[in-house]
Amino acid sequence: MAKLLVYSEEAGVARELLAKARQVAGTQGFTEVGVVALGAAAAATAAIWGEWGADVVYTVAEPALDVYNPETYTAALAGVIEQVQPVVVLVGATKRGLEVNGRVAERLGAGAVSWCDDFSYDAASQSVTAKCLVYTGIGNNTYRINVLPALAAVPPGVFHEQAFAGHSAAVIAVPVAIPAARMRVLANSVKADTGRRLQDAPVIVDVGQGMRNREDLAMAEELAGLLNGQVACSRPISSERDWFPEWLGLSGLKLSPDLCITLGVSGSIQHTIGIRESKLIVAVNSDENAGIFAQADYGIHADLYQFVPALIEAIKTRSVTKK
Amino acid sequence: MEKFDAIVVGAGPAGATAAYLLAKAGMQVIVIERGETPGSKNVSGALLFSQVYSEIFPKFWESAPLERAIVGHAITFLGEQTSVNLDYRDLDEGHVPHNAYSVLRARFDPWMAQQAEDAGAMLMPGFTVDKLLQENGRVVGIEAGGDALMADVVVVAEGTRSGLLKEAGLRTDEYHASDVSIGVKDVIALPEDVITNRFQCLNADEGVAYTCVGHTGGVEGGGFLYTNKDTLSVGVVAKIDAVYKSKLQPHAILNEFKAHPFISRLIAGGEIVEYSAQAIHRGGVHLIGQLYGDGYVVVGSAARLLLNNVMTLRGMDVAVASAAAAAKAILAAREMGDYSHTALAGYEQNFKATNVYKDMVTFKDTYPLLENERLFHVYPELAGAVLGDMFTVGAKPSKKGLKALRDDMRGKVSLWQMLMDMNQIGKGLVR
Amino acid sequence: MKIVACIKYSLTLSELKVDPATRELRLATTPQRVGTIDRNVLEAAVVLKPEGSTVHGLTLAPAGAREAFREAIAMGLDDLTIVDSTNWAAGGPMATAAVLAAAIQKMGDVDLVVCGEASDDGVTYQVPPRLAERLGWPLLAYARNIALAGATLTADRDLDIGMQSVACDLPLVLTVTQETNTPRRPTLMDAVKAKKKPVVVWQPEADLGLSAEALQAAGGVTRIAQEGIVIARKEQLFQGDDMKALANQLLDALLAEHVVAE
Ligand SMILES: Cc1cc2nc3c(=O)[nH]c(=O)nc-3n(C[C@H](O)[C@H](O)[C@H](O)COP(=O)(O)OP(=O)(O)OC[C@H]3O[C@@H](n4cnc5c(N)ncnc54)[C@H](O)[C@@H]3O)c2cc1C
Ligand SMILES: Cc1cc2nc3c(=O)[nH]c(=O)nc-3n(C[C@H](O)[C@H](O)[C@H](O)COP(=O)(O)OP(=O)(O)OC[C@H]3O[C@@H](n4cnc5c(N)ncnc54)[C@H](O)[C@@H]3O)c2cc1C
Ligand SMILES: Nc1ncnc2c1ncn2[C@@H]1O[C@H](COP(=O)(O)O)[C@@H](O)[C@H]1O
Repeated sequence: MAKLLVYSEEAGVARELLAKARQVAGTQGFTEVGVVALGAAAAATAAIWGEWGADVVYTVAEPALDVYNPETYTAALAGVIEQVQPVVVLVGATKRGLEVNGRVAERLGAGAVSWCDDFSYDAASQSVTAKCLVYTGIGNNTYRINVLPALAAVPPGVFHEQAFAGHSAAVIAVPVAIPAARMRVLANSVKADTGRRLQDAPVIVDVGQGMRNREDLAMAEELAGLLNGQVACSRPISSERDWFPEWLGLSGLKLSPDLCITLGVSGSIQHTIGIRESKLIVAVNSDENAGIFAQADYGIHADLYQFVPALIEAIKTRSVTKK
Repeated sequence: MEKFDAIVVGAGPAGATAAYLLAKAGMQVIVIERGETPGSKNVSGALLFSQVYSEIFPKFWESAPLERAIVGHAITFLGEQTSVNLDYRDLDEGHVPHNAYSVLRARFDPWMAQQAEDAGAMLMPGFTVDKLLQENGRVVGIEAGGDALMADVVVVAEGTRSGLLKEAGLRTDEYHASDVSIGVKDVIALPEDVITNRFQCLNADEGVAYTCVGHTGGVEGGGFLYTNKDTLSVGVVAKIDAVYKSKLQPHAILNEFKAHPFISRLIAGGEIVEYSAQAIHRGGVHLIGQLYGDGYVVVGSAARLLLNNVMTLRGMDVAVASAAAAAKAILAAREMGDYSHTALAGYEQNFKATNVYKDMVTFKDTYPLLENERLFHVYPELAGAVLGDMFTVGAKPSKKGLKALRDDMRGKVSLWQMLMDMNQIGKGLVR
Repeated sequence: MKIVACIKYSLTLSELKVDPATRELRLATTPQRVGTIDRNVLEAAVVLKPEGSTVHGLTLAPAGAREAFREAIAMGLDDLTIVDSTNWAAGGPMATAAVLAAAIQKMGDVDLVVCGEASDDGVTYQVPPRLAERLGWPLLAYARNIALAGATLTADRDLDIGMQSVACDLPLVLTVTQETNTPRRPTLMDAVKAKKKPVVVWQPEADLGLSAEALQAAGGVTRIAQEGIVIARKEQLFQGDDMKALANQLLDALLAEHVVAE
C-alpha cells in the first residue's frame, strides 16, 4: 500500500501536482493518489478533485481552516499524513506551502526536500529519490530519502495540470483536532487577479527595476502588444512597487515563451530561473557589465528609455509581427 | 573619540609590515583597508623576492600561502613570429628559501595582515580613508566615512594611487605622466599538472617566471608570465603615455601579447578567471617621493618606491623594506615622545642603509633604457631574424652571424644607433 | 529582552561557476561570506530591539570563518556565537535547525529569533519552520512593517497572493525578506567597537550534546548526485549610440531566428 498525497493551498498548483502523480502512479506502484482539501468550504466541493486525477480527497472540514494560518494548516496536514500514511507527499512550493512543509516535516520526523522537479519511489528499498534544484537553480542535486514519508516541495509551473475525464474520487473526512493558533490573523489583502495567463504568451516583455515609473509601463505594454505578448516583471517590481500581482523567478512563475525581452533586469539567478527556458532571450540594460548579458542571446547595451521607443518605431516601420 | 598610537592606511605589503612591526613593539595600531579583504583590490605579478621578507618574517615560507618556488627565470624577446629566450634555471633543489616565489595577492595579503593582527594590530577592512586630519600643519589622524580617528603617527601605505597626501596639501613632489605605467593582468586557470609539465617543473611546488620584451602592440612595455599552482599570471606593464598615444585599450595590448605564438602555446587551454588593471610607477631612485613629515610617514608604492631593471620588477620587497625602515624610526620617535618631521627623519637614513636602496642606486641607469623605443620595436624582431638566419638551412647560401645581423638590420636601425644602445644596456645592466 | 539573529556564512552564488565540460559545481573556489539576506536579518533585529535589550548573533559555521562576521557584529550585535561546523558531519536543514535550537535553549531566556526567509545558498526555506517547531514557538514568516509593542509583535506577512496582517505574542521565530528593510552600512566607529564584542565558539557535540550521526540518520536525506546546469546562450552584445541602427540590428537578428516575421 504505497500512497501518494498531494497538498497545496493553491488549487492550480494542486492540479499540477495531481497530474504528475496520476501519470507516475502506475509505473511507480502507487496504490492511491490522494489530495488534501482543508476547510469547510473546500470540503464541500471536494469531489471535483476526481477529475483532476485524485483517487481520494482527504478533507478536514474545520471552519477554522477557511482562513489560511500556517499553524492550523500545519496541524491539519500533519494530522492527515499521520492517518493516511503516504510514502510521498508533494507540497506546492509557494511561500505558504514552504512554511507548512518545513514545520510538518519536523513534527513528523519526515525527510523533506525543497525545489523538487522530479521524483521516484522504489518499493523494494522503501526509499524515494528526488531531483531538486539547488543554489537557486545553478545545480541539481539528487537525494535519496529513506525516512518516509518523503515531503517534496515542488515549485509551481514544473508540472502541468491535466483533466482526467470520468475519473472520480472518494471523499474521506479525516478527524483532526485543530488547536487554536497563537499567531492571530488580523486581515488578508489579496492582490487583484488580473486573469492573465502569462504561461500562454508567445512573447514576454520582462520589466525590472531599471524601469523607473509606473507610467513607463505603457512603453512595455506597447512593445508587447505589437508582438502579441504580455508584460511580466521581476520580484521587486511586484513586491515593492506593486505594479503586477505576479513575478517571474525562483519564488514566482517560470515561463518558456518563444521570445523574452528583458528591460532593466540585472540578471540575478533568482530571477532568470523564471525565464531561462525561453527559446530566445533579448536583454536591454544600460550597464555593460550587467549579469543578464551572459544569460541572453542578444544583449542591447543601451538606456531602455532611448532604445525601446526606437524598437517600437522600427517594428512599426518594418511591420514586424509575431505569428 | 578613539585614539590609537598609530594608524596605518592600506593593508598591502607596506602597510601590513609597518603594522606588524609597530604592534609587535607594543603600539596600539589600527590598519584601515579599502578592500573587503586585504589583497582583494590588488593587482600584482606577483613574484615575491624572499630576502627582505625573510628578515622581517622569519621562515615565512613555512606558513605563507605561496604558489610556486621560482626555480627558473627567463628573459624572452618576441618578434612577430619568433622568440629568443635566455633561460636561467637554478637546479639545486635543496636550498630554502628560494630566491623568489609566485604569490596571488588575494591570498597572500590576508596572510600578511594576519601576522599584523596576531601581533596585536586591529585590522579594519572595507573602509576607505577619505582624508588625513591636520592640526597646525601636522597630521593627527584620519577621517573615514565621516568618522574621525586620531593617532600619534599615520603610516600612509595606500599604494600607487596615493591621493591622501596631495589632498592634504602635503605632497610637494609632483611627477609626470611619463613616470607612470599601467599594469594589466589576466589570471588563467590550468590544471596543476599541466602547468608542472608544460613549464618543465619537477613538481607542483616549482615554477618559472618569464619576462618578455616585444609584441606589446607597439607600445613601450614588457610582458610577464608567472606560474602559480593552478593558474598563470600573464600581464603587461606599459608606459601610460605610450598607451595613450597608441589609442589602444590596455587590455588590447595584453591580448596582443597573449596572442603571440610563444605565449599562446604556454597558456593554451586555460580559462581566464580574473582580469585586473592598475597604475604602477616606473620606479627608480630618482623618483622616490617624499618619505615623511610632521606626524606621518609614507611607505611602499605610496612613496613611489619600486625597482625595475627589465629583468625583475620589485615592488613588494621594496615596500616591506621601506615599511621596516619607517617602523624603526617610529619606534625611536616613540622613545622621544616626538613625532615631528625631525624625529621621523631617521626613516630616510634607515632606508638608505638597506640593500634595497643600494640596489635602486645600482640600477639607476636602467631607466633611460625603458625609454628606448628600439628595445621594444626593433631588437626583439632582430634577435629572432638573426637567429632564424643562423639556424635555418634554406634555399639561399648560409651567412655568418655578423653578416646576417647587418642584413637584418638594414632599414631598421643603424650600426651607430645599435652601438649606442648596446652601451646603454651595458651601463644599465652590466657594468 | 533577548533577541537572537540567525545568520549564515554562505556561498556567493553570483560567483558559483559550473565546469562546462564535467558539469561539476566549482564549490571549493566559490567565495563565502555572510549572506545578503542576513543583513536584512540583522537590520530587523537591531531595529526591533527595545531599550535595555540585547541582540545576539548565532551561526552554524566553521570557526575559522569568524573574521567574515565582523561587519555583521558591527551592524549592532552584542555578541556572536559560532557553533563550529568544522568537524561536524551532519548536513541539511534538519540538522541545522537542531543545532540552532539547542544553542538558543542553551543561551536561555530568548524572546525572539530572527531568521531570513531563505538563506543565500541553501534556499531551503526549511530551517526557520523547523526551528520554530523544535522550540515549540509560532513562526511569523515573510514579515514586513514589523512593530513590537510590549510582548506582542505585529507585522504584514508578504505572501505570494497578497499581504496577511498578523499579531503574535513572544516568544516566536520571525523571518524577514529582502524587501523588509534597507540594511545599514556600519561605520568605522561601529567596526572599531565591534572588535571588542565577544565571539563565543561552541562545539555541537561537546557544548550542545548533539550527535552528528544520530541527526544525519534521523534527517533521512542523503545526497547521491550533483550536477551543474549549463545553459548556453549566444551572448551577442549590440552597442552604439544610434538607437535606430541598434533596433534594426536586433530585428534583423530576430528575423533570422524566425521568432518574428516581417
Ligand atoms: C530567497 C530569494 C528569492 C528570490 N526570488 C526572486 C524571484 O522569484 N524573482 C525575482 O525576480 N527576484 C527574486 N529575488 C530577488 C533577486 O535576488 C533580485 O534582487 C531581483 O530579481 C532584482 O530585480 P531587478 O533585476 O529588476 O532589479 P535590479 O537588480 O535593481 O536591476 C536593475 C537593472 O536595471 C538596469 N537599468 C537601470 N536603469 C536602466 C535604464 N535606464 N535602461 C536600461 N537598464 C537600466 C541596471 O543596470 C540594473 O542592471 C529573490 C531573492 C531572494 C533572496
Ligand atoms: C601588473 C603589476 C605587476 C607587478 N609585479 C610585481 C612583482 O612581480 N613583484 C613585485 O615585488 N612587485 C610587483 N608589482 C609591484 C607591487 O605590486 C607593488 O609595488 C606593491 O604592491 C606595493 O605595496 P604597497 O603596500 O606599497 O601598496 P599596495 O600593494 O598597492 O597596497 C596598498 C593598499 O592600500 C589600500 N588603499 C588604498 N587607498 C586606500 C585608502 N584611501 N584607504 C584605505 N585603504 C587604501 C589598497 O586597497 C591596497 O590594499 C607589480 C605591480 C603591477 C601593477
Ligand atoms: N548555518 C546556519 N547558521 C545560522 N542560521 C542559519 C543557518 N542556515 C540557515 N539559517 C537560518 O535559516 C534561514 C533560512 O535558511 P534556509 O533554510 O537554508 O533557506 C537563514 O536565512 C538563516 O536565518
